[in-house]
Amino acid sequence: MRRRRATGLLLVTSSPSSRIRPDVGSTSRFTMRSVVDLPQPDGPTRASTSCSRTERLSPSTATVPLPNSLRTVSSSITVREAMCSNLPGDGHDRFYGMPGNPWFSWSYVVDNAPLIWQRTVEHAGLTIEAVAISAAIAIPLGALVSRSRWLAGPVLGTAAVMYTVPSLALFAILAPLLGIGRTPVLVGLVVYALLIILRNTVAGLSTVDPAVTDAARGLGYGPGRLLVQVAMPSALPSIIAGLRLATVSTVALVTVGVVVGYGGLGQLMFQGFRNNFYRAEIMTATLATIALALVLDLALWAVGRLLTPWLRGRAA
Amino acid sequence: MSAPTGVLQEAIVWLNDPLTWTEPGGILELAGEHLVMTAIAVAVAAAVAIPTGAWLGHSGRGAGTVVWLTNASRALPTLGIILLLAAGGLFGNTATVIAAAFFAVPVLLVNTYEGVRGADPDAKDAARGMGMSDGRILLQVELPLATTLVSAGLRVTIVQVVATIPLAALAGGGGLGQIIALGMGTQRYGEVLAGGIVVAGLCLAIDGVLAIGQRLTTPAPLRVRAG
Repeated sequence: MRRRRATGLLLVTSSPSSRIRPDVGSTSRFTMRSVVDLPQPDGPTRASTSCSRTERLSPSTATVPLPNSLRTVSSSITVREAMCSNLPGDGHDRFYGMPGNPWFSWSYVVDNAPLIWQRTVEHAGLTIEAVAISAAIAIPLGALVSRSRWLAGPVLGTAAVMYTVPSLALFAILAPLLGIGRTPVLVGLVVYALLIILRNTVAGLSTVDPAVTDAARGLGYGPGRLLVQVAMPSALPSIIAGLRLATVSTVALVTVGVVVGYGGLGQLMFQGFRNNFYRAEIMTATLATIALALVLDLALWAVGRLLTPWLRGRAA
Repeated sequence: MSAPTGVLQEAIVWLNDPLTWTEPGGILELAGEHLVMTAIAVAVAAAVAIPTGAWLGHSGRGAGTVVWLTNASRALPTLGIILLLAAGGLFGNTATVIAAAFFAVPVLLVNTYEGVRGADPDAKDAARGMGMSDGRILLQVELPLATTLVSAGLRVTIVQVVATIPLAALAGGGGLGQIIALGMGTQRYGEVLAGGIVVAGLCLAIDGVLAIGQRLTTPAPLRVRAG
């Protein structure tokens, strides 16, 4: 049990009366245990009662209040209201027709398609931007590090230390300094992707055949041209592998950004968690995250294949 | 929102208050809870992954499965799994321990597998020639040779679990993540920053201790290869 330090007040909210409290700053996470037994949003008996109920419930279920919880809750209310107001005169059939499975609900996906799509686009955009920025930093840095051995230890060591810091902690450290929202998540993601890409770049460059480098030097290649035209193509498969790994783990990491209010699909997961354990919402968001990771991974694999035509004949 | 310097000052003041550390539900108690959860999760993961990995590595079967599992586990969002378990009725600490163990298994499995698989074939041949049974070869030859990789895997696993458990706070669980979640909820960003620093510090400290432990437990002849 967590005691509030400032007041010394013991916050035990076991009775449902806590519903009407303002949702920012005064709820503890115990509130949500007190609302477990309330009806599922997707299994109402009547459309009219279900809408008003969901509306009434939403604020109280925002139990781990985030700075933007007001916004998220109100937006979820609007979605539900829109859902209700769009109903034809006799909308009961639609609600009766909902599947009984609380985990997989296609009607949830259909009804919330615009929101899911918006979150997915946010998620993908953040991932691509983060990986692109880290690649822009890590690949040149990797090339530099592999040229001067004395730099390798400190640079890789620093990156490894940053990588050890848990994502939640990093977001928590960055958020107060950079402001709530997209920026701290982006910076955190760049830091994590950095190590993966850096390590793979260095590993790739270290496997370049010395005979090939010698031959190129013998042909009169300068260091810059050697790097760009000889070493980089040899290291490309390893770099692509690093990019794929970084992308997949970044997609999974974005969801943690919910703690600072910008988590893409994680936002949906958490919203579902607060909305009285709306399982379909959590499950849909989780599956969408996995699917997004697979799609981006496949895209990078295809790009890798296009960029390394000389490897195509060999077994992967 | 206050200026960054103000937040930093708040964090320093908060961290310097002895009560913050020693009160019930303070940092020390939460850290203890955190470590207990870590220990359970790692123990569960090790009990599953090390025997499985050793057996698979010994028999040489399932290489594709192991690799696939490791890659697939990277794409799974930890937060989603924790929230799903919570929504399924498993609350707080239990859900987190299960999720953390779940994500720890692939790392340990792949390291044990590679360690046992990569044991010197000459040593295995010699052991077989001396009349050792499969079980003895595994326990007395392959596993000792795999120590380096298994202990490296354990270190990564433990650090990863320590890093995963703070997410529990979002699903109503315990551990040090609570400081961050509560600070966010009450908009006291100084506490958020301080919580982040405490969690990061714990992770780095544990990684450092384990690095030393890893060196001590690795038999001297194997150290060169590890370097």
